[in-house]
Amino acid sequence: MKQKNRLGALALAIVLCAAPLIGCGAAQSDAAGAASSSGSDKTEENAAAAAEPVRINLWSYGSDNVRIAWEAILEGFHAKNADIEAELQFLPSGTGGQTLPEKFIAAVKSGKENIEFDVIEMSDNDLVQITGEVGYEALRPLSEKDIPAMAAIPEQSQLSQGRATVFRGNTVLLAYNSETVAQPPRTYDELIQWIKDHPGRFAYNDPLTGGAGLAFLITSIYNPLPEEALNSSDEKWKAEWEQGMDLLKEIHPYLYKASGHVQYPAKNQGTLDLLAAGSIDIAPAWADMALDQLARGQLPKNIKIAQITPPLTGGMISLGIPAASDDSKFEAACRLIDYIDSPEGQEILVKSQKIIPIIDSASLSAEANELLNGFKSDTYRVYSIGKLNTELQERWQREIAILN
Amino acid sequence: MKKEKLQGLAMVFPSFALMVAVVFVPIIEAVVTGFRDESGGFTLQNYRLIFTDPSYYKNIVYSLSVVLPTVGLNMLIAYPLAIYTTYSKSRIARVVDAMYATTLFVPGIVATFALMNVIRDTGSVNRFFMLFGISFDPQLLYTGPGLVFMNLWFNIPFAAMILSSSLAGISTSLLESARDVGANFLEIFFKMIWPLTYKAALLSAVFVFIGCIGAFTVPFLAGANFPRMLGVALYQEFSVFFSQNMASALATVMFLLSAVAGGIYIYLQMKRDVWQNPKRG
Repeated sequence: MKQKNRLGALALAIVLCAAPLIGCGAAQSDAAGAASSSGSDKTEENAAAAAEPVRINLWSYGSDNVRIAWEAILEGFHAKNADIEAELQFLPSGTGGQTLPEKFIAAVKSGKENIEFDVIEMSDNDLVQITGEVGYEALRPLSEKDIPAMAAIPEQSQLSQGRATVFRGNTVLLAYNSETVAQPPRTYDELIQWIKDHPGRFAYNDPLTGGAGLAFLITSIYNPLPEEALNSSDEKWKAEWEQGMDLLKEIHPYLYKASGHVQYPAKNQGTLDLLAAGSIDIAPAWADMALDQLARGQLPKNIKIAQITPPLTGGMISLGIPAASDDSKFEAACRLIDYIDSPEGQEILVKSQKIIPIIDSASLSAEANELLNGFKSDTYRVYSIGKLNTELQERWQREIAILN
Repeated sequence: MKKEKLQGLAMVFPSFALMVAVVFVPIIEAVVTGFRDESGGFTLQNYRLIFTDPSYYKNIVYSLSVVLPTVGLNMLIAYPLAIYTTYSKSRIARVVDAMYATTLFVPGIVATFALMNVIRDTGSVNRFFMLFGISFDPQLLYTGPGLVFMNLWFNIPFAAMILSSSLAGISTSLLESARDVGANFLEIFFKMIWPLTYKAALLSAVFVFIGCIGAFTVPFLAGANFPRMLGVALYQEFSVFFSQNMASALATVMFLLSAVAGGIYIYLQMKRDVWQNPKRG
């Protein structure tokens, strides 16, 4: 009898120990649902006047500044649209797990009719991944008829084929110290000449650790190639990388040196820190990062930004409405996107996230234009080279990093 | 007797099962994956590359050239520090004792950036000397010696703490009586302190070795672009180049290096000292 009790206790102990493990997985998948229900309770009171608000889910991912920008957008949107409840489903970056495109693809493949994805954010790479896996039919065609603000957008992503609309742009450009560089280089060739004329005053970050350095690497390698190569994952282009690699080897000794060696700083922030400290005069940087840090005073006022021709690579981010989202939610989803693409929505995004607007910046306030530092980007040099991206990074590590 | 045994086993079972699931199984899987090529077939190519391709083996040599001096210097500094704070009754000793451990509570990434600002050529060290009109460049950031310096900052308090607790076990009266009969400091250290505390010393050395050989934050932010320390090289293989097989092989090599260190410690731990194990008739 005693033995039995003990065995019972043992079984209980094992179950108790295992419970948190099992509970964990379930809790995680429920988190999104729980978040949406608790959030909607609050806004429900505000929208008591409306009959039954339409609930839609807006899916996004990235760093925390992206989340903050979305919350500002939704606040402005709800103030004007009491009959819609848009809920942000945000996947923070760097926490592992499934990415947004992976989650979405899995939801579409599950074959369910009413998936909880009503509006999704997609980079060009995400668009390639999603349409490659589940086809363009997974997204609804979007037009000015449903989203009037699209009329004011001069350029759409070539990859969306009318199934998404851009809502913000971002690009790598040059950040420079205007006190030491009177006239920044205007072309890529001028930049190379400037680097050689000013040893130790230029740095691009380790391209394995951040997109700004990677954009400089890609631009250097693909400038001598036909423009079509920039949007091709065909292995044949690898044979033509030599010229660019040789150029990078040639400029290597003229780059920023620390402790007597050329050093490619870690992360996008690494080069910005050097620029702020006055250790270098020019560096490739993400537009939103540089503008945001200028606005916060993390970069001194004498730092300015400029683009070269041909430009450093960048891209536009799109929003799409999945075909499997419920029909009854389509109109609400369109109104949300319309708001985001409107001058009002763009203004909020410029102020909170320092995005590059996709509409003419003349339609934004003077304050927003000041935040943009006079920067306009009407053409983005988009690239999607698929697996070659990784191979290029590997070659950089083997041939350039090793030069020290 | 049998019941007690079962009870004991039942109590360790949950933790043991958890360890098997999250430690042993992944390790075995990593070892197996390291012997696979991209199509899943058996290959020795990954290991061949690690030990013959300069872009890989230089990383191993470099890592050891940073970690071994770290371990050695760490001992040389931590031992006197621990002895001083344990045995000295002066007020300064008490202040030092209270202060050195605070470094253990500074978050790693904060400390890394702070140290980078100290040793960079335009950093605090340089600015301090500038006050006297001397332009002194430490030439440490992004170099091996710089990494050793930063590792020491992180590990000295840890080693000193382990040593202190071991030293506290030696009764002061024993040391005093040794001094009374004329033993000098070196004699006391080599004939009494070392034999009684060397296990703690080796334990801390092993932990410092294992911690540094797999370190990521410090070498990622303050290391050179090449060679890279193994932790950074492993991250690159896995998260940048997406070559899981190569990453697994590299992880196995790192695991073996740590296992050698761990093995030395276990061997010493099992080998009982003569005085602890008197011969039985």
